[in-house]
Amino acid sequence: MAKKVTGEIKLQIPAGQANPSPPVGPALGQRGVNIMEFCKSFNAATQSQQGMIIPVIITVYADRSFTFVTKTPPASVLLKKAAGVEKGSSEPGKMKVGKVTRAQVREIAELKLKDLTAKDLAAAEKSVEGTAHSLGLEIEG
Amino acid sequence: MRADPSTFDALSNFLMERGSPGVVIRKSEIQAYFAKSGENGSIKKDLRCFLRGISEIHPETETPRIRWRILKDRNWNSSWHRFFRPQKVGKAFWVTPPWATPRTLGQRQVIIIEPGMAFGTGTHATTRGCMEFSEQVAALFGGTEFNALDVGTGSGILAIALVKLGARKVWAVDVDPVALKVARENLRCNHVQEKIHLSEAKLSRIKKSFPVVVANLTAETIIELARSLESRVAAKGFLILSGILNPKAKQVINQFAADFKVMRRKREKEWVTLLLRRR
Repeated sequence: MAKKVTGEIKLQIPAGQANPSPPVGPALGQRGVNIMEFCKSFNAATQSQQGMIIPVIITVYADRSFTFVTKTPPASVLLKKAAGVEKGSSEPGKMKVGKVTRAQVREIAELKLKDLTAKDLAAAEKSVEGTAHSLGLEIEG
Repeated sequence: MRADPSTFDALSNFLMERGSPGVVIRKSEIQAYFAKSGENGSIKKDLRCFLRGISEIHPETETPRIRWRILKDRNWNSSWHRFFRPQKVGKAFWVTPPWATPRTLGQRQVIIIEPGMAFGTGTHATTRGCMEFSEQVAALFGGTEFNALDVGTGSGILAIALVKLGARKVWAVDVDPVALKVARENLRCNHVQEKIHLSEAKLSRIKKSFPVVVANLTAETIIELARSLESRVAAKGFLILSGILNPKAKQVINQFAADFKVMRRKREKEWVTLLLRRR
C-alpha cells in the first residue's frame, strides 16, 4: 500500500519486556501508534534475547500504521558483557570499573558496524572505544 | 537531555542503570523516565557527576543540557486512541476503530479496523479514494454480484469494503506476512472471512481475471506491476489505482493507456486515485 513515512521513533528497551508505561507509552501514544500491538510484537521478536537492551526503530506511516526493526544491542551493553562488569563507572575518567581487550573492541565494532553511522571498521572501532572510556573501561593491547 | 550523539550510548546506559526502564532517542536528545521517589535527588546529583566525567573524557563534545519535567501518570495504553475516531468514507461507509461507535448509522455500513502494523486504517487519502471508487463501481453493477482482486491488501480494509458493497468473493494478496496477520484479524472482526481469500501469493501467480481490481500501492510499484495488473482485469472490467503522488499520475496513466481509459481521477492533498476501465 501507499506507505508515506511520517516519522521514526527510536527507543532502547529491554528485550521481551516492552509495556505501555514510559518510555514506550508516551513515545508511541503521542504519534497515534497502537501501543499494545507494538509491545506484543516487540516482545515476541526479542524473546530469545531476554536480559539484553535492544535498540528499536519504529517507522510511522501517514495513516499511523507502523512497522519496526530491532538492531544489535548497544555497544555499552556488549562492552560490559565483554569486561564482565554489571555496571559502568559513575565517574568516568576518574573511576575505572574494568578492562576490555582491543580484540574485544574490534569484535564489537564488527558486530555494530551495520547499525552505526561510522563509515568503516576503523571509525566504528573509534566509536566503540569512546563508549568504553565513557563507561570507565580501560582498553588493553 | 540534549547531548552530542556520540555520547548517546554511554548516556543511555547510565540512565538505564539508574532506573529508567528504557530511553527515547531523538536527533540530539535522549529522554529517560524515572518513577517519583526519594532517590530522585541523588539521581540528579549522580547524573551531573557522570556528565562532568563525560565532558572531561570528550572535551570536543557539546556539554549536555538537562531538563526535568514531571509527567502525570495516565492510562498510556489508550493514549493513542484519540487519533482515531469513526469517520465517514464516501456515501457507503463508516470506518471505525473497535473502541468507538459511529453516532448515527443512516444508510452507511460499518467497517471496524484495528489500527496497527498494516497500512489501511481508513484515515489516508489513498484508502478513501479507493473506497469511494469501489462504491461507484459497485453501483454500476446494480446489485449483481461480482468478484474482485485487492492487490497489497494491507489491513484488508478495501477487501472488506468490496464484500460489503456486494462482491461475491474477493482475492486479497499481500507480500507482507505481518499485514496478512493483521488483515485476517480485521476480516474476522467484520465477519467477512468466508468471502475473502487472503493469500501471500504474488500477483503473477494469480491466473484468474476479475471485473474489479484494486491496487493501492505506490506509483513505482504500479508501473512495475503494470502488465500483471492489466492482465488480471476482465473485459470491460475496472481497475482502481492509488498510492500515486500527483506528479507521477501521468506516468501511471500512460502505462495503461493502450487498453484502458480513465473514467475518474480524484486528487486529495498530494495523492491521486484513478478509476480506469478496460476498453
